[in-house]
Order: sequence, then structure tokens, then C-alpha cells
Amino acid sequence: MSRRLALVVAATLVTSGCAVEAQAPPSRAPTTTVPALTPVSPLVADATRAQVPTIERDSTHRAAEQLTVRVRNVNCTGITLGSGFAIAPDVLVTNRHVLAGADELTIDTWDGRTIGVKTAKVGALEDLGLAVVDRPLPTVARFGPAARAGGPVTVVGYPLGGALTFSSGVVVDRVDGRPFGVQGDVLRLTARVEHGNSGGPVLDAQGRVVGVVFAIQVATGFGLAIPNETLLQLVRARGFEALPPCGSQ
Amino acid sequence: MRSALNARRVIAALLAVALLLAGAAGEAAYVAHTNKQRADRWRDRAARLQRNADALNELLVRRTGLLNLRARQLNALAAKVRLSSEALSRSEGDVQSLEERQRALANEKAQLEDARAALEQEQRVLADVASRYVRCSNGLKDALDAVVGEDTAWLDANGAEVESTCSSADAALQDFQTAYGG
Repeated sequence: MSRRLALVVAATLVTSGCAVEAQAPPSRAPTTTVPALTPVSPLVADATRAQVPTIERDSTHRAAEQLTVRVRNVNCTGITLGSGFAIAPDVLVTNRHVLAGADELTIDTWDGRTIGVKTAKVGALEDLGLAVVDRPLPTVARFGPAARAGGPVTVVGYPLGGALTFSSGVVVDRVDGRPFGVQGDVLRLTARVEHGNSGGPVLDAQGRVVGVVFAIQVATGFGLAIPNETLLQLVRARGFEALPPCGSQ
Repeated sequence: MRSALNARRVIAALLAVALLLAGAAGEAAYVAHTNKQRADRWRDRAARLQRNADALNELLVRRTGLLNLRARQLNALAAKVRLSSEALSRSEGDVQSLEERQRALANEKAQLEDARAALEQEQRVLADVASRYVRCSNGLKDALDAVVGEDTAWLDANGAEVESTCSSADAALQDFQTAYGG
């Protein structure tokens, strides 16, 4: 009897102990519907590594090429050749000695166009000249700040009547221009200058005009240029006169 | 006496068992209630998590689809960039060679224009020299006629001029030869 009783008690205790903890409900596994990733083409890496063409230097080069023209002066002694550049769509600057004595003046552009000259005038005191042309010139000069010693420059022109050339160098210094027949200062340059460069632009690193080539210093071989301040002063002062006749310059 | 004692013991034991059973039943009821509450909380939490998981899954699917779309667009663009780059290189090369050719032709043209201008100028100077010699020749012819006709008056009046005309023609020829050679 007491054994039965003990069994009943034990069974009751076991049964009640079974209800101590409840199990967590099983969770539903998430549905896996994520699509596979599309692989990125190696061309993308190539495209991100691709260098953008450095056209700035080219464009400066091309602008200088378009700016600089070849001046042909037919006169009583034959022909004289020089260079020049536009300061307005129909006005170009060159040297007095390039224009002087002309019976006929013509301008050749970089792309082979020939442009006629309507009128020309020369500086009364400087080796500078202006020519008004009968058709628009390809591009007009931008002027830079005054050139300083040590500054990099490029002389652009048609030396010896040949093809357009670019000659790089630096400004050596500014010297008194009177020994060279020029009022005010002149720039001395290490850039190579030859006959035919006369009247061509001296450009700074940004392609802006800082001077006009007019001569070579024989003693040193330095190129000589009239600074753009002198040119601009002369233009503002309208310091130009008629072309001297052939043989008088 | 002994059986009465046993009976009391049995009753006491039964009472104890009954109390134990009642306690166990109470505890079981309490635990069952607690379990139900806990189970409800778990179920709610599981449902919440499931909803979150579903939402995240849906977002992941959308984002992955978008990413794949962008990847395909990027691949297509990269292919276009490659094609454009190749075309640009070819064009740049073509333009450069055309420009080189244009520069060379422009230079040749300028040289020819120089030569033409020089020849025209030479022709003008030579024509001037020739006209001076024509005047000189005409003067000499007139002078010769005057000599033949013994017209000394004409010779006195024009001889110096004829000589000057011929000297001028000689000087012009000399200048021409100096300037142009030959």
C-alpha cells in the first residue's frame, strides 16, 4: 500500500516537473530569392584607369600656331619675310622693318590661307608695325602680365621663311632698348631667334603674349623682344605713321 | 487499537498526498500559464523577426537587382568608353596626320607664293630696265638719225638726255643684277 502511494507521488512530481520549461516555437527559415550578382567587366577597371588626353598643352600649342602668321613684303629690293600675330580680328602686329617699303603685303596663315593687307602703318619710335587685313585672322592674342627675368617663354614664328617653329627659353633680363634703336626696355631671351622670327609673338607658359621679337643681339646670340607694355602703350597712343617708301628705311 | 492507528496513518498519508498533488497541480497550472505567456512572446517575437527578415530579404533582392542593373549599365558604358576611346585615338591620329599634311602643304604654298612674288617683282624690275633700254635705244636711234642728217641742233639739245637715259638704263640693269643675280 505504501509502495503504491510512493509511486503515485513520484509520478505526480515527475509529471509536474515536465511542465517547467516551454520550448521556443520553431522559426520559418527565410526564403532565399536573392539573385546572383552580375560581374563587373574588366573594361570598367580599364575605363577608370584610362588617362584623359592632355589636350591643354596641345590646345595652347594650337592656339599659338593659329595666332602666328607669316608676313610677306614685296618691295623694290625683292621680298622680305617676317612673322606677326593678330591683336584684333582684322589687325595684326609685326615689326616696322618687316612692313617697311612694301609695294604689296600678304599674310599666310598656318592652314595655308593667304590674306591681303588693306593698310599698314609703322611705329614712329619703335620697331613695331600694324597691318589691317581684308579678311579675319584665325585667332586674336591674349596679353599676359609683364615678363620677368627667369620666366619661361616660347618664341613662335616662321624663321628663314620656312615652316612655323616653336623655340623655348627664358627671359634673361630687361635692358635699355636705346642701344638697339628702341625706346624703353627690351627683353633678352635665350629662346632661339632667327631672321623671319621678326614680328612674331613671345608667349608665356599660358600662351599669352608678353613681347614681340624684333632682333638678335649679335654679341650674345640672345633674342630681343619689345615687351607687350610698350606695344600696348603705342597702340593706345596711336603712335603709328605711314609706311616709309622702299629704300628709305 | 492498532488498526485504528493504521487507518489514521493512511488517512494522514492520503491527505499529505492530496496536498502534494494539489500543490503540484497548482504549480503545473502556474507553469503552464507562464509557459503560454512566454510562448506567446516568443511567437510574437519570431513573427516580428520573420517580418523583418522578409523585409530585409525583399530589400536585398531589390538592391541586388538594382546593383545588377547598374553593373550591366556600367559594363555597357565601359564598353562604349573603350569604343569611343579607340575611335578617338584613331580620329586623333587621323586629325594629326591631316594637320601635318595641311601644315606641309601650307608651307609649300607659302614658299611657292614667295617664289611667285619674287618672280613677279623681278619681272617688274626687269620690265622697268627694259623700258629704260627702249627709251635709251629710241634716243640713240634719234641721235643716230641726227648724226646722219647732220642735225647738230638736235644733238646739242637732246644728246645729254639720251646719254642720261642710257646711263639710267645701265644703272637699273646693274641694280637688277645686284639684286637678282645674272
